[in-house]
Amino acid sequence: MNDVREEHDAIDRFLGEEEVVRPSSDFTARVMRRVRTEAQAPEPIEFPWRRFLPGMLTSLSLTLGTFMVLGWFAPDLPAEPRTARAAEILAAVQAALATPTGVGLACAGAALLLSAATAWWATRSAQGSTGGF
Amino acid sequence: MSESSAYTDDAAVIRRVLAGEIDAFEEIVNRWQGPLINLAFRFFRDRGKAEEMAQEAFMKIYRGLPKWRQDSRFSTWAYTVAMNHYRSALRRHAPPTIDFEELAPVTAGGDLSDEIDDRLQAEAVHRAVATLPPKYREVVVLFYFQEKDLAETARIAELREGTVKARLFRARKLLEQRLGALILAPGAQPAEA
Repeated sequence: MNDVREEHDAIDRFLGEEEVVRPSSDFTARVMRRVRTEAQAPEPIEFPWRRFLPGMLTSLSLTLGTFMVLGWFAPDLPAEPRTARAAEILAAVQAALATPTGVGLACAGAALLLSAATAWWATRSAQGSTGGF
Repeated sequence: MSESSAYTDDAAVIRRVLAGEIDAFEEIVNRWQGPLINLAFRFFRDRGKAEEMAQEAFMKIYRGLPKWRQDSRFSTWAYTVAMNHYRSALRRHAPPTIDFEELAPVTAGGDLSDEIDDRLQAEAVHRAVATLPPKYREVVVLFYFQEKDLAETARIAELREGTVKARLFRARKLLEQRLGALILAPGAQPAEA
């Protein structure tokens, strides 16, 4: 029992004693160098949610609207014609992909125009000329 | 400097830093570098690593200054930030395994002076602490090596006092199991069953 007590006291005594580590002479200077660098760095640019969200919502609305126009969600159409309409659209898309003329070229042109318009709009927005949302 | 005036001074210095006087942070680093480096050393047992970790801790403290609510002492908050940083680093590095053979010379204290014997025993205890699971090591380091009381240890470790008490008890049991007769005074015989 006494030995257990002795062990206990010895552990307490040794745990209470510990060498003290002295910081390097340049420790403060190193920390302050990093602090100053960080303080001088420009603030990180926040993600432009105010610009992104309306664009995203518009894009989603347009997509949904397109599907509705195409009759995917038309409630008065019976199931069979709706499936037939889907098959027709699919066939048209496949045909356009199979023949890289006509519709295919038109699609590519439209995509290019859309990209150019998006780039122009994004540049103007970044320059602040649109006044934001 | 008394503890309460250090508390007031810390708050005043931090207000200056937050007002844009970045260089004032040097006072905080000068004042707290010793404790934070020593705290890191208790965990990592390596001077270079301890300074590296303390440097990172100071950067976290600097970045977090606007979040410091002045209802708690700056030292408690700074210790908590440093502790969380060291704790995350410890999770990435498994504790070193202790080799019983490395501790064996401690028992061969018969013809060594008491001073050397004490030093070796102390070293064995500190090495054994380094092998404790992190949750026990944290409270042992804060309570014994940093000489915090139970309440302060609990605040820094973000635990309840009861949990700290239980972990300290369990840590001591583990140390006793690991070190056993090695830490008995030279010449002492193990207890008879």
